[in-house]
Amino acid sequence: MARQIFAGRKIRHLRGQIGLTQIAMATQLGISAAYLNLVEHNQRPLSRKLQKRLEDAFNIKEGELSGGEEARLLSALNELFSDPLFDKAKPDSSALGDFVAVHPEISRALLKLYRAFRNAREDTLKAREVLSADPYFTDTSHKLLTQLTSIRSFAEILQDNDDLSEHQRDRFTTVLVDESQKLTLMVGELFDFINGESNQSAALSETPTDEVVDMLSANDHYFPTLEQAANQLRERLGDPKPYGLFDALAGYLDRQLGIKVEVVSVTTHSSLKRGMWELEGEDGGVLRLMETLSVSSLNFRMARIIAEVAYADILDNTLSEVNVSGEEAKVLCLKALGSYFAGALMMPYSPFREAALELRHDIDLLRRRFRVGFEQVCHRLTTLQKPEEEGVPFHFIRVDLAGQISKRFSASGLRIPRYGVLSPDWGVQDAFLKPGRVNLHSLRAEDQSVYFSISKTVTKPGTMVGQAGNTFAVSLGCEVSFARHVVYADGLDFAHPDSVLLGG
Amino acid sequence: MPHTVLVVEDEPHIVDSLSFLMKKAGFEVFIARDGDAALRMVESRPPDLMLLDIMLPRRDGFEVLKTVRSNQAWRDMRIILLTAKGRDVDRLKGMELGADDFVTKPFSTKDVVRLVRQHLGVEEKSA
Repeated sequence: MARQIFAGRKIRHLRGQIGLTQIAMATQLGISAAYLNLVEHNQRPLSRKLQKRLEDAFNIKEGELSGGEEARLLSALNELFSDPLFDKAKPDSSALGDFVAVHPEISRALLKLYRAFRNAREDTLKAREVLSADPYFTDTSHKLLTQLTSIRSFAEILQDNDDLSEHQRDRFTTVLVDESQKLTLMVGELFDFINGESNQSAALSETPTDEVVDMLSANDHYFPTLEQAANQLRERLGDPKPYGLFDALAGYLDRQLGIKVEVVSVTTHSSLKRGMWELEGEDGGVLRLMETLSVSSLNFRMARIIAEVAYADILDNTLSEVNVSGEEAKVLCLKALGSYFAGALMMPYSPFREAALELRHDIDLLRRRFRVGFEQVCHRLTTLQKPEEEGVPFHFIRVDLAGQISKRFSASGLRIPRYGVLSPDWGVQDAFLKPGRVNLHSLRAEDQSVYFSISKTVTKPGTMVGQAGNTFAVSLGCEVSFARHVVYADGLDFAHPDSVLLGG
Repeated sequence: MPHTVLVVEDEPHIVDSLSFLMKKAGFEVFIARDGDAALRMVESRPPDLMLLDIMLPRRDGFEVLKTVRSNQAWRDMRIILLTAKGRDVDRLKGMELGADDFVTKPFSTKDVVRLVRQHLGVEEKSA
């Protein structure tokens, strides 16, 4: 059944615009003035016949009088005015109805303006969310508050204490000047960052971790000098078998570097200075490692200490050749290079690459062969980028239960988000639903490339008796054209990926 | 015997100013620059009051607070948190964990001294 149309306001407004009396318009339409009056006051619905006559006589677009568009506009404007923005300024519904009927064009413009405002507001909220989660801003706000506190404290001390000695006064004044200068620099950097004006802002827009990740990417995740150094050390150690590596590394630390290795009990050492380990003494000393660490983690830590102590010049040279600007980023970069060295030592390039291809990247078989951890294997696989002897280009992601990314490397070309949490669409968090099991996932990226990945949970041990460890999900993936080299991809249909990433 | 105040803070200038103010107010001052050191000092000589920063290396202020409040022997120790502006959640968490009070960075030195005196029941100029 056709709905009844009441278009009184519109007809009245039209008549006013044309400058006709009710009688004159009624005459033109062939109806009585009394009937037109009833229609104009919505006492009678607009019949199809009268609607057609009005459209023909006054050149009105078909459907304009029927109110479909009017009803849609009214509904949209009602929604607009229900926005908290208008709070007490919402017009009553009758006035709004009159306005829409009389000024449809202005109503449309108003809606367009509101949509633009709503989009801008959402963008602002998103940006705020990103900034509040950005380690650069968190760190900067902490530093700003700390410096302000120092300045305020010393300014008040100088003001309130007449009896300060000359030395004290000089010292406090120096602190004030120094801290004010630091604060000025920091505020300057912050403005540069916000305005995006300086060259430095590009670096500032990244966290130190981002800088290191970008540096690794710029070097294709492969460092020949560190590979050579690790191979040289292996030779000096007599090319130990994986199960003999612990003794070889502990022996080297003791004999060559004067560092005794102690694996300590969790009951006698509730915490070590660096959590799971500590190095005491500057020249030589003792390296204490928590017994809860796996053998592969013990080996990794020893290898990294060797890199930092015995191969410091190679790490420094490598650092000087890469593009890392911030001091904090340089420290992180040295750690990353030390870790790279450790990985290269435990999983030497050529034998590891050959094994990876032979075992078709079966991570569990690889970790058994090299006596290393699941995450270590995944990480090392991303570094097999030696020219002419490349491995499969993989990406690697590590996230916590909330989806926060703590590690990301992409040699596969997949763009991994820098900010916020990883969308569940990536499938990485699925690993938490089946702890310890390998999960398979395929996804289509924005550029239509299809990637295949596996994910699995890994748990870092606690440092105290009864303390649960931290569990992460790690994911290793590659573009589907390489999937034939990966045993987990056998029999999968990549024509229909599990998920499609929208907006990166 | 003067009251003892342990300042737990890793920023050297803030340590410097707080320690100057506390000494000036007549308190005996000890300093710890990280959470582990704070707990060692509490073990060896529990202070009457602790000025405790939240963001500390090794073991953060919350961990220190939890450990102290879990030991009955230290139940009388007053703990004032040094929190950062805009981090209301830290303040709420700290009070929930048993802190007695808090000051917000950037704080006024006068407020800190007044608060410490108030918690230790010390009149001005008689400390």
